Amino acid sequence: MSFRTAAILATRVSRQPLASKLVAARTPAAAQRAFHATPAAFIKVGDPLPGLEDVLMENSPGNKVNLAQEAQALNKMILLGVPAAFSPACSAKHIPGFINHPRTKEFDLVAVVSVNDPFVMKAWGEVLDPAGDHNIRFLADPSGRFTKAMDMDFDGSSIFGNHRSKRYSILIENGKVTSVNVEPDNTGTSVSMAENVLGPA
Amino acid sequence: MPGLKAGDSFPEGVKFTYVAPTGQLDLTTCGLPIKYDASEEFKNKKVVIVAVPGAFTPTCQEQHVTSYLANLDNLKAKGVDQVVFIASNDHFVMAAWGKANGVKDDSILFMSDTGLAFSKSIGWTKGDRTLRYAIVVDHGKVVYADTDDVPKSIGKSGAEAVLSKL
Repeated sequence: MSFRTAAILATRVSRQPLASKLVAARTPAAAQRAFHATPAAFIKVGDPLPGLEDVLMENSPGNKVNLAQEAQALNKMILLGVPAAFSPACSAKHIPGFINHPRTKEFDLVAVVSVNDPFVMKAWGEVLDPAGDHNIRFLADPSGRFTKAMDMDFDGSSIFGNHRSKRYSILIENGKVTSVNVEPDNTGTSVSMAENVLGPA
Repeated sequence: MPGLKAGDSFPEGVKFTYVAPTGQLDLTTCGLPIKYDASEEFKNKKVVIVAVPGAFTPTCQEQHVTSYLANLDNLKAKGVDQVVFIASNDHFVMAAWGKANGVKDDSILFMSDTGLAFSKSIGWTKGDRTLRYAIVVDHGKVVYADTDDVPKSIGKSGAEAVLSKL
């Protein structure tokens, strides 16, 4: 570049406060993470859900759901994460296990979250709950940001082409997590099944 | 490379993933995924590939798939051996979408363009979805390829459009 351009750039840069320049230069990753509303951290007992207001969608892209906020207004709810809508274990075992468990009605809401788009989640909900029982809702996390914020994502690129949600079952009371049950291999059907989480049916 | 056009050879190494239809329409069960070697399969067939931005989305569902379902006999009469729908959705979703449309055999196969590999390779993507397009491959040679750039339109990639080019 010309000497003049270089001189102008140098002057501009030198006008920034020294401290912020050093911070930006030394910790670029931290500077990026600072723009996230909620840094990713494995969700644990006592935590609230990620307070994201425009990530989860229900039925259509324009219909955003702030699940953390809804959870605070509820007595008890169940949050189920699945790797893939319409996949065998998700469709045949995980979700139906909760739909059919006698203790599920003690909860105000069952929310199913998957890294799929809202059209797919809506169609899947119609398959698993054709009667439209209002206590179970199928929410889409297409960007994966809600799932990542709880550190519940895994790299499913070889099968799915993107990161997906681990299979988990989380119980929440008055907006705070009371139990976290995540499959150790991400996709199995053991600790997160209804019989394990809610007791024998 | 902006898409394919008539006269091109269908690229080598194109693979999709799908779940083979099992003759039943239960959407809560699903077989295991298989890799479909498109480049190999298309060498000895006449095939229509239809790409849609999203399974279960309005236009794709109400117009695009239905146009092909309604015209399967007409397509067969013009020598088409196979119709393959692809999208960026995963193979589980594609399999369910096929069943949701009442397809329980291989009259139309529903496959995933996993990772958008093929659509990216020909530059026919928008964000992390495919464009809406149709490609006719006759024994390894592309005889028709076009995209629908007008939202909600299937004027270039619907069954009628493809039939008129066969």
